[in-house]
Amino acid sequence: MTPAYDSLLQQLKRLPGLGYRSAERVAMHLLVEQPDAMADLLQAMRGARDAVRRCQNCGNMAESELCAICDDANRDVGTICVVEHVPDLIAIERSSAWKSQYHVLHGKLSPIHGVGPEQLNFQSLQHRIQSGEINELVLALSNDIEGQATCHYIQEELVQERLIKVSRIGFGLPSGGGVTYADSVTLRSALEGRRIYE
Amino acid sequence: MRFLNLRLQNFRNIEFTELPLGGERHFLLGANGQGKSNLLEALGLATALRSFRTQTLTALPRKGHKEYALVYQLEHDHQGATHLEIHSGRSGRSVQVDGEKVTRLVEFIGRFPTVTLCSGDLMLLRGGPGERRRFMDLTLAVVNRGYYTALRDFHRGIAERNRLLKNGGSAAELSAFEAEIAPHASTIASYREAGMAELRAVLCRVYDQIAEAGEGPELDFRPNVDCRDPEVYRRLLQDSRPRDRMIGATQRGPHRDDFHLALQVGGAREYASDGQQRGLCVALRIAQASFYHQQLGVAPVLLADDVLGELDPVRRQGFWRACPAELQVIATGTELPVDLDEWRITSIANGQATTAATGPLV
Repeated sequence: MTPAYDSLLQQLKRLPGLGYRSAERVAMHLLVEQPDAMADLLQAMRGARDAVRRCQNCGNMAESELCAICDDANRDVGTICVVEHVPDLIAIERSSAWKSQYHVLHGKLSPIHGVGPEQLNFQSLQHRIQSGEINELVLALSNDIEGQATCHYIQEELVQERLIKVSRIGFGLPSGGGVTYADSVTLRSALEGRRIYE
Repeated sequence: MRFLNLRLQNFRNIEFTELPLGGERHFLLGANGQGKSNLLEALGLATALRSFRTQTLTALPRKGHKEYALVYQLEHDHQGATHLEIHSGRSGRSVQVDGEKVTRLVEFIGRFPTVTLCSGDLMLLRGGPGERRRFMDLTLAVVNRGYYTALRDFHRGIAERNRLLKNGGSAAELSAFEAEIAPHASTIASYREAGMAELRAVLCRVYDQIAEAGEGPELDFRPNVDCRDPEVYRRLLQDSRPRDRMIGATQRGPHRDDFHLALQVGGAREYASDGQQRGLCVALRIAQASFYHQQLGVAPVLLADDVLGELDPVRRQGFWRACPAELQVIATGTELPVDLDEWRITSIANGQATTAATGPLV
């Protein structure tokens, strides 16, 4: 259309989750339909870029040294839920099922994708473990070979012989979902992860 | 299971055609290059979205097109009248069963079992171990989803380990992946051992009906290593690291398994005559079909691509003796079959199917 429009479209297309058509819709919305919204959006993006950083303790998004969760005195510091990405943390927070702290790895081990221990947020997890404050790690990582290998690495290399309880979240049927419509992989996980009915 | 109808659009050389099926014996008659095998290929995709002719699925849309559509009507042993659609386009493939989208391949494999007999089956004897492993993997994945998921995770784990071996990954990283690979290898080993033993029993029975008695077929599963115990295999991977690092790949494991086919005279590849080899391949495919039937409780459809004409009269008679009567058979050929009365004939020319008036609907 115009060089400036094409340039914007190219940049938008590079964002995750935006294909050509979605990028075109966003560009049209910003340039033609709601041009007044652009200033606010740019200001918000610049503000977020300048303010948001990684929490030094857990790797979550923060606007100061510690994120709101690590800064919350009511959160149990001895029990930590380890997740791959910030959206995983947000999902668990939304469920209100976890009232303790987190640790965000920012990925999982995957040599094929060039992700090794150095690329993951293991160093601060090691510091937290060595500090002696942690008594339980709950590993909420993906249920695939890379997620499992990452769990194994944490257990063998970071926890080692320390007296820390390490557990893996369960994988099974969605709440309210019946057995009939569950896929076979989920059913297998649910059966393998069965527990004593009390 | 029985196919009742297939409609194809922009598939191989077919712009659009409809193939009415529904009888027990269908013969697709036509000269070379008219589209007979393309129709069988389309029917075969219903099993696992795999072609028996190519692993390059980009070759399936008609020349100059990027999309194709296959619409099947079939009568399923468990689900009754079923409508299946396979679409392939720019955004990948999509499958719908009775209007419901199938989101995972694991949910689809084996629901609509077919077995294809083709001249390429000789590669099971004459080709390398990879050909036989593909046969073994498809056979077991169709009847057991646990096998499919274990195989998928095992190969993924091996790919990750191989990358570590090539890039000088640390011992800790290798340990992490080896610990996860080993249980999957153990699952695969158990399924293969049990499955191939069952297939062997069926094959012996089938082959005796096809060929002369006493030729004594033998199917011998040959695992590369015994990894039924995950701990044993994990230790083997650990001990193999120096050598594997030099080569940059995992040398031992189920990804190197093989099976060996033999007759009384010796290894089928080396000692069997051409006719015996063809007979053995046909027997293996019928055994595969019987195995599916036995394990799934669904009668698979036999798709015979120009192979019945290649058998001598004795073995062709044997084929019908061995072929379970309840299976729908759809065959192709360039000449009318000898036992004409058995078949419903459909002529194929320029990618168009025309059902002939002759030949009773069995």
